[in-house]
Amino acid sequence: MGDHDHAIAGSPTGVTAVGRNDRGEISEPFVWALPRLSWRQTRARIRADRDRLKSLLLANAGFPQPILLHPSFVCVFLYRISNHFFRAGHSFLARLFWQFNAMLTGADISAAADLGEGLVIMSPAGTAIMGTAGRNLTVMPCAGMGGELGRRENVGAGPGLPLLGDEVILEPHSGALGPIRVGTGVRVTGGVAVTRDVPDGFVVEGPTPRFIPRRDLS
Amino acid sequence: MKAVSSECLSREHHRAHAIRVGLAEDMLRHFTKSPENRALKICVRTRLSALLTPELMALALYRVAHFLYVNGRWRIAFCITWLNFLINKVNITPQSCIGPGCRLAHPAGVTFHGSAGRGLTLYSLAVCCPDSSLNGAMASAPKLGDNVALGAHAVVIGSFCIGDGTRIAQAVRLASDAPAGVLVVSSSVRPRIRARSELPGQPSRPSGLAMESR
Repeated sequence: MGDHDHAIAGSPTGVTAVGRNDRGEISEPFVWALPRLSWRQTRARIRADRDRLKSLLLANAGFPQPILLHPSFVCVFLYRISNHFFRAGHSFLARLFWQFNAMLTGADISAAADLGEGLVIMSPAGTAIMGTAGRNLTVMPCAGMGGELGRRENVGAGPGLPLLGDEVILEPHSGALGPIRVGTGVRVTGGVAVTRDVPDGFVVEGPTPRFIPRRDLS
Repeated sequence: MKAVSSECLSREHHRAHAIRVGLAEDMLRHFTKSPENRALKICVRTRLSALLTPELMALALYRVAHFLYVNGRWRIAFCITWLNFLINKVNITPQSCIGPGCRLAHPAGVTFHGSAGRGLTLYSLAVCCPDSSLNGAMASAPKLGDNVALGAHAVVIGSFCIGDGTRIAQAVRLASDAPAGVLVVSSSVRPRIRARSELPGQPSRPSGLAMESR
């Protein structure tokens, strides 16, 4: 997961990505023109992420927890900083924070990913994210979103990348892959890789497990 | 003091010797997991060496964090959990109650929030957590019996009970109760293997150019 088969270079108008398709041909250059964010706007997003995480933990655990030490907050904080620099055209600093995030938390969240406020990544180790998502995205352990080999259409999130709506939940080991649109309020259950469009409010379910008696115990 | 499950109190996890007993059984499991390990002469050096493996280091840090959490020192407990995450990339919350003799085959990416009996086995990237939130209340966390094994990439999600001796195969998502002594497998069909040239618009051989363009 995570579409990294492209080279990114800073430019005054945005960030240009040039990729190659499976036949080795160089694709048309794509300019990532994410609007710049001021530090005030970035801080507001971080605050919204922190508040959502806090409310989620408080509602479930019933007592406050040290949010600043929570892996989700650290991971999302570093992503927000790297995304801020990316939007400002400082691709080196963006890359630096991206790498630091991967080293510290084990999450590979591209600086070019455009994720709305209220982002929660429950256990960042093994998470890979690239694409666009709306508000209140919940990413559970080892889930992710990104490109799929051989598909480079643009649905509004960049070439070959998924576009997720608001309030989407990605359960453990699930993924949204390729140029697809996932609607608002969609829940992708564990172990499922979505490669097609999903309308609003749907649950994408995988196969139900079967129980077989263990012969080695009998 | 935060809510502590009766299981923790019945297993005497609030006493310091629980750390020693738990770690001793974890280490015993480590030394008996393979013929090579069984052939080792157990001495202080091999014990220290074992303790510095990611598997046992992660379990040691978890047991200390859990002990502190049960005794009301939850801030330090969360700090140690964060340290465990930082070093080993394993996320075992301090609220979790895991019995002695646990085995983490490859700790990085393993996530556990729930309770389990003796002899728990977690293979790589196994996830066991309550629905929608990792740090949810223990009441909504999964409860695993003795000698339960979660295969690689297996997911147990929600407040369900899993019986003793149950094995969950790799890449299975279990969101229901499971009886004791069963093997839980996915009902999906086996993966179909085809030549890439059979797929429409695919080259016959991987070009490898995607790697060059990084």
